[in-house]
Amino acid sequence: MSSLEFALELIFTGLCVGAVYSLIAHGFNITFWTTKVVNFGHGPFIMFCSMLVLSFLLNGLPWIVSIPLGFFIIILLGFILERFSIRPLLKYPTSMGWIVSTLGVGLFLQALASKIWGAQALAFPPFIFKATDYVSIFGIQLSAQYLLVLVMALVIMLIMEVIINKTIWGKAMKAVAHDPNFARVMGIKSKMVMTLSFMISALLAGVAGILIAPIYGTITPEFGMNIMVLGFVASVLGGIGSSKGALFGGLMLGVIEKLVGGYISTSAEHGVAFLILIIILALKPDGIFGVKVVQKV
Amino acid sequence: MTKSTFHKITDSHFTKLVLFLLFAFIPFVFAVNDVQLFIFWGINILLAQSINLLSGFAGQISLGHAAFYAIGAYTSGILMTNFGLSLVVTILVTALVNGLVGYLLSFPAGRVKEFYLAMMTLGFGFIIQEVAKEWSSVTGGVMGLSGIPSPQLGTFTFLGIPMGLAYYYWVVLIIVVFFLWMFKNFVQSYFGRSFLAVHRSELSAASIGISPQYVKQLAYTVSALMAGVAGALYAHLMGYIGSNSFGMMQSIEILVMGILGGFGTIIGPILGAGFLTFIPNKLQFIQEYQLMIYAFLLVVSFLIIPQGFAGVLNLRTSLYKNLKHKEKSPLPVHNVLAKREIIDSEANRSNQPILTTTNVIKDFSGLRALNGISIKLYRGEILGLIGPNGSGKSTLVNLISGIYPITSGKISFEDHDITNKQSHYIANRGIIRTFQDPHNVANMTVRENLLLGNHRLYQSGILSCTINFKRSLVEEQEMLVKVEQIMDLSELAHYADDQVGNLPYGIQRIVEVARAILAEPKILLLDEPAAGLSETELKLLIQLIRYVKSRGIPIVLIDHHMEFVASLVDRVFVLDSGEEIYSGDMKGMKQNKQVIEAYLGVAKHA
Amino acid sequence: MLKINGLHVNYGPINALKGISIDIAEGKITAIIGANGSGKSTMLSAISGLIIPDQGEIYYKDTPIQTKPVEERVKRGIAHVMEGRRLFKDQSVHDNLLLGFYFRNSKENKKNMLKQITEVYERFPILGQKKHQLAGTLSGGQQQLLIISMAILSKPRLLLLDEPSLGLAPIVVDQVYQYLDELKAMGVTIIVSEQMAALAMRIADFGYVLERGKIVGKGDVQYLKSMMDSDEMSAVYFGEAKV
Repeated sequence: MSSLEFALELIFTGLCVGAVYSLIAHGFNITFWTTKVVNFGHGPFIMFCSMLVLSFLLNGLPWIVSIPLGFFIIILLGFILERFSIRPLLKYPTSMGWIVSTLGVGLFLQALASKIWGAQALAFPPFIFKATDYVSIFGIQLSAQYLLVLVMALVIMLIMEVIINKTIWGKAMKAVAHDPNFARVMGIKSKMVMTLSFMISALLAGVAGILIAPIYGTITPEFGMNIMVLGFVASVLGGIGSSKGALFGGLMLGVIEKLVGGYISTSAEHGVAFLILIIILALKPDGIFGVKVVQKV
Repeated sequence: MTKSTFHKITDSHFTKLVLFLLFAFIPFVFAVNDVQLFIFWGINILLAQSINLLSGFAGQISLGHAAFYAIGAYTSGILMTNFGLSLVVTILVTALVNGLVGYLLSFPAGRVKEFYLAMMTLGFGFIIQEVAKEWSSVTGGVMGLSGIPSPQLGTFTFLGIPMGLAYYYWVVLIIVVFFLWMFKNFVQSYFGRSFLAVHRSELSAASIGISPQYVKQLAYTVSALMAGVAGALYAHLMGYIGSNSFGMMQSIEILVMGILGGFGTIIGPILGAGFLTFIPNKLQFIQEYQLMIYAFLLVVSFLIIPQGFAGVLNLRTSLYKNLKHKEKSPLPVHNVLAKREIIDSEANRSNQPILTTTNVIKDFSGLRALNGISIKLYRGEILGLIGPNGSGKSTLVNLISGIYPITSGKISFEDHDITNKQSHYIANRGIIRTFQDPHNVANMTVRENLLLGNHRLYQSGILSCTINFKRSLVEEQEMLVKVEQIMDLSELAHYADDQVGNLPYGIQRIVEVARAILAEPKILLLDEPAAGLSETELKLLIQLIRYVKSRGIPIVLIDHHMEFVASLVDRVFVLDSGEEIYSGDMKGMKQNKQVIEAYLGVAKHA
Repeated sequence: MLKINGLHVNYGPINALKGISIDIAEGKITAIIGANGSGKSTMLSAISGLIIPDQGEIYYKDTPIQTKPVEERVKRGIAHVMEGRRLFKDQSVHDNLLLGFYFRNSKENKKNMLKQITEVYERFPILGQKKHQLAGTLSGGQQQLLIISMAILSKPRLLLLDEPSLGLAPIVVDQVYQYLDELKAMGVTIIVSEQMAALAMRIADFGYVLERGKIVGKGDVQYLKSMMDSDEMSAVYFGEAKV
């Protein structure tokens, strides 16, 4: 393989993995808009949904049933999370309460997963395509599975954008994000919109789980937390609260990771991501596309 | 048993000695396994207090605390195994290395807050674990580092003498007791109080001269140092360390110890550490579901017991050192505020303004909030700053006190240019302000909040406060006397030991003004101090303001309550939409057409 | 139409309203006049439901509503234009109007949503011209017209306006007030709070003067005018009356 092909392939896989990071970052954005809360249990949500789907598959259910069932359960969990672990804690002035509490919910799911499915890695079957299916573009062999993930992640983000910008419910969500009290005066049930945002966020976590699992090949109860931090990095890189930021932050991170993995060492892949997180937060906490917030007195 | 007798008993030296001896006897009474558990408790106490200092006191959340623990364990383990250094040296070096790591981390971490900080610390935890895993030539990688001298394996020697587990227990006991003693001294000094002030609000802390950056640097350094020592003790106890011991779960366990025990107290984390050391070990059932239970505790503890065990048991740690029962001789009586006599050299300049703003302009994202404001403030006068809502009064005060940077113009104070200086620097120069809503530390008592006002006057060093040097204790006593005096003056003595957050709003405002007076201001800026006060509280406020004026200290007063303003000010400065529309006496203002128009919408009798 | 009895509102320990009792006549414009911090906004928020009072009753068309949530009161025909020109500034003018309409109207009404929004554009052509611009980019006056239009789209019976003239040029204030007169003619009951007493007098049929959470005066336009001319009004703003 020529060096150019090698580089292109790294970039391609980076884009595919990055698209999933973007999806995770989108999940953070949605709740951040409505409540300024970022779910620290988002990672285990990702893991739990893929575990559920896998477990349904292993029990003989077809894909077409397993996936909606997994999504349904994860949306329900999003609802429960908002009701019991966020709403009662929003009245405190510091964020420590909901950070700790959402993290607790996440860890609980992780522990539950270990109890139910064990701590060892489980093989996740490829989706639609076989692991060995390839598509050839410009002489580069691209894994069909990867391509599918990339396309689906992009399509889902596009649909999200359309929903938020074109439908009245999306506009209401933006309205609540902008000014919850004014939204209430306009008859919008602000609290309901907030709950809804957590359910959608949970759904996005579930989608991300189903997409990334076939790429990883195996899943463990811990993989969610790890990938969540990568989602954070993507989110911070692009700027929390920005759709554009989530997209580009995720893709950029994916590509950087894979290039580092390909040219330096695969073990440094994630280390680099954490390093980016610390550097970006220290230098430009509002990210590339984020808006600087003026401090209130 | 009442709360005070409980405190008397726990605070007495006799009780402490008995407790210490009881603990010292443990190796004679308990089996080896249990002694080991007690050692773990000691290690966990250090960890819990370490996160307590950082998150509980300074308010900087940490989700990656195991990283410090890991660095300590590896540093000490490697030093002893590879270089054969003795425990004393390895612990000292570990403390130093960890302190340095904490100090360095404080620079990126000090710039972010809230969940950004949570993410950063989470990432930091992951990085350190990755390094431990991948840097196998030094850390042993996933295989871990074995062969560290350990008292359990009988390979541990101290000063050439082989040391068993009992000896190691005593070493840990002494280290833990020593650290707890220093920790207590530290949090009960003006350093500890400044941590809580930064926790409540960096803005407000800076307004009385506390540098939030410095507090964070100190918090990270000391916290990392303590966790590092805990790591060293762990490494030598086990004789083996692997990267798996320092993952996210360990970080969470440390966090749970702190939260469950009760952040912001000394006893809480000790109890939290004990709970998490003994309970899982003694109850098999819990061990099996350990992770689930920790997670569950995280979710519910904030909802059910937000102040942890310490809160449930009502064990609050007071944040000052009261040595009255020791110090019998009466202390010299000070005046709260030294009168600023206009001495000759100053008399010549008494027609010189103490504070001047020259053509100050402030834009907020394109919107002009202040347009070329020039104000002169003279010694001994009260200047009223008035104008309708949104006219820029508070913005002006925020510019003078350094909270916002100014767009253009100049502010000078006593011949020094203070334009765009940091707000704690400005406060330290003597410009002290209060806020529209009181910025006291809600979970500190009135007395402790007032001591915060004294912050910029303290001179004792950090070591002096931690080791309780006599000089630092005398200084604390002097400050307490000043606090007593201001409490008499402002009728707060009755509330001295009540937490400010539980007091009526009016009292909170008075506390904030009294706190500002204790900072011995050269200029006092009061932003709507009368809002929400009852008639009696208002009288008290007027009395306090007159007291400050009688001491020759100039005041800038913003308020909408015109009668209140009229009864105090010498001069008023009226703003409307960021422009000066009037400057002069009160009487002239009421007849000024522009002013009437700004308030009523038309010129009266026009 | 609206009757308030002994209303108390505390913000934590601050007493913002200390026993307010007022009567609002149907189809009239009532002004609430007072200085900063006198409790005008608090009173309007208590009527619209953004604030639940600690004590006292609010009767709207003879039913007590003081504990009903905002959404419920919106349905019963109360619209609130909050102070500080609140708008969804990051969304277009058209989207703001949609949001103003959609969640407060019945299903049947929604069928001719676009028609009613078009009526707004006809009444204020400038909004029609700028309908695809972000609301935040409009001038202050245009924003105020948009906000009032949004409020009107719910077909309110009672319209609360909190300092609608604040920061507007006199000519724009005229435009806003003219619109309020039109609404009055259509039978909408209006309560408008004003810091500028002289402005409020131009449109109000009746007025209440609020000072530090208490009603200190009430009466018709004649009364308010006489109050302006005596030094009482000055006292409300500048403390003691002696000049």
